[in-house]
Amino acid sequence: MTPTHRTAHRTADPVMAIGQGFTLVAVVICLAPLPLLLVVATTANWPLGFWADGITLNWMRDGWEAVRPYALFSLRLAAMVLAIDLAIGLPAAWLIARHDFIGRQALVALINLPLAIPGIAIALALILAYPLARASGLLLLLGQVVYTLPFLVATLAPALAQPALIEREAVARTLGASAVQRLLYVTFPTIRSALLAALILVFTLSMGEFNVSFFLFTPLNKTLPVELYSAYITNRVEVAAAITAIFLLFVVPAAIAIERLGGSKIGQA
Amino acid sequence: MTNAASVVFEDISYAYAPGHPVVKDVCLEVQPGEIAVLVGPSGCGKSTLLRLVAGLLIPTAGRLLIDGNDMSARAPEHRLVGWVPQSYALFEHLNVRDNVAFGLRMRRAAKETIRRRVGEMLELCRISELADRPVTQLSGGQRQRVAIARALAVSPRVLLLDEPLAALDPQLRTAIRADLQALLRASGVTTLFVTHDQEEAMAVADRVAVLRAGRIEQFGTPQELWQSPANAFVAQFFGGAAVLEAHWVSPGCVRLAPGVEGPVALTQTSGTLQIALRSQDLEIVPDLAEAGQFIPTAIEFAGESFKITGELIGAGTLTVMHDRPVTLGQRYPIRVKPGRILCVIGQHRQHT
Repeated sequence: MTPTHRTAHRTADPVMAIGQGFTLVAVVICLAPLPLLLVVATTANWPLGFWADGITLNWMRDGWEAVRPYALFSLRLAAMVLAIDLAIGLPAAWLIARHDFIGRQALVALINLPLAIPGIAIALALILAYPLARASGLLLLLGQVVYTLPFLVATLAPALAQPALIEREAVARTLGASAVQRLLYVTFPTIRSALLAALILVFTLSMGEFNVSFFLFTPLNKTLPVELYSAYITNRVEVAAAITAIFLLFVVPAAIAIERLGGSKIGQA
Repeated sequence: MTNAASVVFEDISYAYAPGHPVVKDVCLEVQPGEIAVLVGPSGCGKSTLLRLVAGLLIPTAGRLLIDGNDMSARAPEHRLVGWVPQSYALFEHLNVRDNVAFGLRMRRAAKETIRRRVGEMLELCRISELADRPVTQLSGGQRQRVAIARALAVSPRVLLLDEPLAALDPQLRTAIRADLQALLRASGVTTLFVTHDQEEAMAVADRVAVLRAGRIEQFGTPQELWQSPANAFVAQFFGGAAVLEAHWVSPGCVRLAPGVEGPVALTQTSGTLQIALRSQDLEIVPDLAEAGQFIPTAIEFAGESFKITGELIGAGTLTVMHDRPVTLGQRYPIRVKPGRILCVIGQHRQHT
């Protein structure tokens, strides 16, 4: 089929045309706030209008000064969540993908359970169960692990269950590769894009998580999104916009990376 | 490469689930350097036999000997058995050279040894010019060669090939089959080769084992299987024959159907016997008083002649070759070609 034919076919199909129209509208509605956010964050005096009293980067600077400790805390927290998720999630995904044991379905359900429970409920349950752990920030860490783990497992398990991978591991075995060698030289390289996507996904989720964190934070352990919320309530709208823009700087590149790694394959279970 | 080993299956059974064996009491002795083909319909257990030799599955009963040593307790990584699955299972994150070098690296061979050995294997499999290509850019035939080179690089004592030609274009298969056979002969390795295609089995095998439902029906050279099928299944599956009941007329002569009689290489005269009838055994003749009656139901053009399938009245469905087209549904006189000796089923000597 030549390109001309294809174009002709597309425009001739009313269902397709309507679908494309709606898609366009949806994209515009979703993306419009972003440039607006940047305009507000760089306007000296937003209540007077677009770039009233000139363009400034002061709000961005003030915003960054205000949230810097929280951004750094969130990064540290995300790194810890990542490490714990991997330590638990990788073996769990392996078990689910490779072994048909009694209670396998129960394990899958248990791991996925937090997806069906509101974050607030998870947070309250944790507070009720471990009241003493809250002050140290341990509960915040635990809450985020519980919330992000299903995404990691759901991304890794299908990758580990691929028959092609299992067969390659078997070939490696006949070639003399030990269990550790198979893992390092066959399994990880084969699932590397799923693994990387899972890591970025967990990192992004942890950076942006609000529901659980809002209930579990303490003055000393406050995440970036929680601070973002306080900023909206207490600061000028320009500062809040600037902080939001900074927040997006952390999250958007990761989201783009996930998409490039084959976003459609991620999170399927 | 002269470390070819014998492979012996001693009453091997295997069941994926208790009570549902896929391999039953298999006894088989493959000689060092021999190419043994396991042939049978899908689900007959032939791929399972390869996995048992590789050690990826452990027999539920019986023993497997390689070079006279019991392999039961030996893990796949210590068996020195090369396994090439149907998908080839190439390591797609590595290029051709690194795929071939994989086994030697895992066994921590010296750098120089790896370089030399990989070079030899690329040469043997005629893929030297592809050495630095990613395996994702190869054709089916090239992928197959990389998989075989990778398996042979560690100097295995046995090579296991699971449907090595199935993933290739039918047009290429015959040419690649000849190449593959030459390669296996050159390497001298004992080979177990699985296929569902009897023509392929005949073409590459020193000996063929015909499998059905997890059992070996017959093991012998292609000629033996063709000339003396052990039973109707072997005659049909391996020989592509029609199986007909025959009755004695006189010593050395049997009747297949009214008017259709022919010689057999037996002189006994009692009981009935089964004949494996090939398309070359019968001929459609111009009007003849003492002939059988044949009603064609399908006709295929086969180049030199026509392949005609139809009903031999009083016997059953069979195929004959004929040099002219026929009219479907019409009756034709038919007889055993003068000079043909019919193939009797079940007269072979038991293999050891």
